Amino acid sequence: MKRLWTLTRMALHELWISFRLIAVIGLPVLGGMLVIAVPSDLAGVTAVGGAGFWYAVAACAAISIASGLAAGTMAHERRRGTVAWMAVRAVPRSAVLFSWFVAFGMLLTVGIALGSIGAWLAATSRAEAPPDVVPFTAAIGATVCAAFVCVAAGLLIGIFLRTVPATALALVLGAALLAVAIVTPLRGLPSPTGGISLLAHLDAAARPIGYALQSAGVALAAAAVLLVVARLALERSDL
Amino acid sequence: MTLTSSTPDALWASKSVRLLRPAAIVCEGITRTVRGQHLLDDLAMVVGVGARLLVVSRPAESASMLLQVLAGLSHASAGTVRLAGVARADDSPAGWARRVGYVGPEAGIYPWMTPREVLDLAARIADYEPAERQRRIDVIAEHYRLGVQLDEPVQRGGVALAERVALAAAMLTDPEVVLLNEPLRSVDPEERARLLAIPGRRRTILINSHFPASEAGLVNQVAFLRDGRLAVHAPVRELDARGLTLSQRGIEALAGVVMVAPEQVTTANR
Repeated sequence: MKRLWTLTRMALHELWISFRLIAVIGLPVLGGMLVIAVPSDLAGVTAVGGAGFWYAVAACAAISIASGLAAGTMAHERRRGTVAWMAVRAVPRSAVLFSWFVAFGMLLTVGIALGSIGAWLAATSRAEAPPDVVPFTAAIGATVCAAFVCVAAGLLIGIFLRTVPATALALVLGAALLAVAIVTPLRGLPSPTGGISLLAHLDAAARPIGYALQSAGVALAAAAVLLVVARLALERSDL
Repeated sequence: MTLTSSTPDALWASKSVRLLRPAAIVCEGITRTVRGQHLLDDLAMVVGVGARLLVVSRPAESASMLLQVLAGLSHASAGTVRLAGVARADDSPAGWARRVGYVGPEAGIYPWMTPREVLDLAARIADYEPAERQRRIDVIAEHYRLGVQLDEPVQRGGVALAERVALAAAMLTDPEVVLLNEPLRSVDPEERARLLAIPGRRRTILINSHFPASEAGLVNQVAFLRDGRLAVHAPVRELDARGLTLSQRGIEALAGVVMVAPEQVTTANR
């Protein structure tokens, strides 16, 4: 654990020094702040539903970009030999991979949480009666879990491709998956991107909390599977 | 029993132990194919403790791949490797991390880090106590003349400083086996020769270089891999004896005349 924390701190420092940290935290925060700027005729049936939809769109963009950055980061780290530097010192490759996952996951969690405050404030300013915060919070939690899936997918892609193609592929793939989640009506079966889907269709959700919990569980399981695959791929790859 | 440079002095002094022909690196049947090309083909090689071995190859990627396989950075599809008595890279700080050092063509360190931070990280990973960590950093910083730049980001000193710091970090743990894969390409030749003259009679060093002549004086053995197999492994004096130069062409020519068994080299080296 001590070693993992050292590696995670280094990953956060690297993200900070290269301004990627600002993008990963700043984009969802900016998206949340922009929800208030959505014209009232586009603001949805209910204040919370409308805010949720537009914040889902913003989160979709932010998570896709974070996924692309995660892919580019992993590819770049392998290429410039920093993973090799660790590996020759008997640091397990999985520890390096997991430290990057934790770093991106932590930043996205903070960013999405802060951004959701902006979206919630936009919703309350438009609502006639005080809205129920629990379904919205549950949807945000499930969205964070969906973000973990995208980060894990990005890291996996970064193990196979060079920096630019990895970044582009992860960004496009993440955006496509999350966009599908936004435009598709809410279904009974939860999916890894179900958090985004729920956030975009809060008004239509019959049991938002249950659906959020199920989606979060599926997302965490999917992220775990992707990380295991990424670990196996990194173990087998040349550094 | 595997003898390594960390074997106690008293044991080393014994004649019977010396007769065991201690090996620092043992490769058996290493095979690795990349895009249909056999970079390593059932390669068997034994390198004695204390050897300074220059490895060159045709194709040139074979030697680099060998060092990467030895360092645990690339995987062989078949075969076994044993370095400094350790069969594979484990995550025990007192094992592999301290016994084997590797410096590749890329420094592999974050440019925003200072040399002190890099050395401190390497020492932490090797799990030294704080006092021992500090002592080692001081000694290595002095040897590699990092004093003035010790607390400045590596990027300010350019690639040459990054490469020096990478070598310093590799030597911090006083490793028994040092693998140098095209090291210090950006350092000026005189300084490079000084840095690569790594002390330690029982330290085993493998160097892969595209410019064998630049390693003159640093190595006492040469090996040539042809199509992934060991074509020759001989003391440098074999080159001199035949009027050949320490160059790719000279070593290849030696491979055409002599094939020295690794056991003989081990003995000759001692």
